Amino acid sequence: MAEMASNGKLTDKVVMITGAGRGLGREMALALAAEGAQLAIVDMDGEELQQVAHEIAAIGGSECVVPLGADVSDPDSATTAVHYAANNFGRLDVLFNNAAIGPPAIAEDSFGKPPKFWELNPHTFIRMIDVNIAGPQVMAATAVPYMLKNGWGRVINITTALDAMYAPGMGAYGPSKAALEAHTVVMAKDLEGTGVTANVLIPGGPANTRMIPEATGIPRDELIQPDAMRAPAIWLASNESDGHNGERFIAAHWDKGLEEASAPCAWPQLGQQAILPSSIRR
Amino acid sequence: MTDRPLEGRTAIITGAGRGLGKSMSEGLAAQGARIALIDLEEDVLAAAVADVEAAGGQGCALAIPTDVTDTDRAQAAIDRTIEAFGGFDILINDAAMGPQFFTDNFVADTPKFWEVDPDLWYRVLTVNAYGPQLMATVATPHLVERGWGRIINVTTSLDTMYLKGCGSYGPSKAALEANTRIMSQDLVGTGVTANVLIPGGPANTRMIPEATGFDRDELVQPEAMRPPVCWLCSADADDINGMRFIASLWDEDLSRDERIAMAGAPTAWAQIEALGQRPRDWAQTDR
Repeated sequence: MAEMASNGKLTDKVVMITGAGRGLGREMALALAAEGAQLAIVDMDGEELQQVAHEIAAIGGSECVVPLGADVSDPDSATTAVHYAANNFGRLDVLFNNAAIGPPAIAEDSFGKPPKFWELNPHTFIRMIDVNIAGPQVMAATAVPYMLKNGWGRVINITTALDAMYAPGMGAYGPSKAALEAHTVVMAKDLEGTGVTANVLIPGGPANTRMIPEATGIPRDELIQPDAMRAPAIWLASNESDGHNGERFIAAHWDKGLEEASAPCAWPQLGQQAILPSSIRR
Repeated sequence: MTDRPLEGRTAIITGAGRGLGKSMSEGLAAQGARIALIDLEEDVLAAAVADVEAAGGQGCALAIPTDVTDTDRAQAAIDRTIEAFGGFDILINDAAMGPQFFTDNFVADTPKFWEVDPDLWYRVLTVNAYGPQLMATVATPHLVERGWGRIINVTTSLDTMYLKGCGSYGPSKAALEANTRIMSQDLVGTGVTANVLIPGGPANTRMIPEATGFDRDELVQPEAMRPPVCWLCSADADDINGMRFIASLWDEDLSRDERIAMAGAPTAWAQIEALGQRPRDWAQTDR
């Protein structure tokens, strides 16, 4: 097994993935391990995380994985995890901000029976903001200085389809992803010329994870399967994606080629919006 | 039409102590509305109340010092408004922490995202993205019960949402923009609407510090918010839901349709093709 990995595309990369205990995070972790990456996997659920760590160890050996039980929304916990990973592997090259609280936190069937915004528990709303947008900022702000030191790195934020950002019934899920989408553009601008990039990766529609509960009644095989994330995640974490910064990549369209599967981050297609008087052209 | 077409209406306005919030308060009061002014600082509020009463008359304004991210105080502010004015019809979520908390000059001096104070980044995010949700959560049941109402959220220009150097200001406004579109969908058929109103560019408020060196006269003046906010709060805008309006493009000389076409657009980024894929049984829905 370890032999196969030594020929992989990511043999010199140390990758951190949050929300790696299941779903898209787990799938991406396994895909990257198969390409030889060393992985720091983060999740709140220790048992699931250990399970994934065993799966990764079976692919790349026990030296190539560190499971870290951490809450990305707790700055102490999040920063400790990043520093630990960087010290353990001696470097940190790639961060996948994948951890998120999804629609099931709001209702059993957010799609068929969406609760109204005023029926939400405010604590659930702020908790989603904490995990889905504040967490990625803390993780990236802590991880990026390690990447800058080596002049190479990746921040990859998992957001959602642009129109899912304002789909009702999911609490702060959509708005928090809109914030992360916009923030990815800010990250990309701040990172220009450093060798580190920031991009968005999304499945491209509802995926077959616990974010879409069985109660929705949606046939599982009509959902995007988590393994669609594998190829774009490998590409983004590798040197092959050098120079791509501030873009969003859609896993479901990956087979159609880069042009079809990518778009600029956020909504710059709408053109210049702010009306700026002559003294303040930016 | 009377001079005071908003007589009998009551508006709760957050961030009413200064800037756009205060200007909108004065504009609505001048048209007859009663105003519950929410802000953090009591002395700032007291001065604003005096100005709003000068515009609308003695007793038309009430100061309610409140932090919009505090659940108990948000509810208490609603209760206090109902106690003082017998109810309310309008919620304007204007309170926000601006780019000036991150940099004195967001053109020349833009701190990187890994250099900003984490506590500040989080505070701005919660005030701007969570505060409006909290206020709307505690206000909306009353509006829906009355069968008429307005929620007006002040966000920012779509491309300012990803302007560098402003910390979490832009992202927080992207969240509020998306949430406004959610609110408008949830409110369909209730008689209550949710819309966005923005100045349309940097405004002459403390959010644009002097250090930017901008010519203050070239900024959008806070008074530009008054005509569109008064219109949004009038019966003439009963059918307007899920829209965003740009105050600096609002031209009262145009016909209603022309005005809406000139200054209005759907909330968020609904014009962009989503590029997503949906399970077949969702394809027939609006989702």
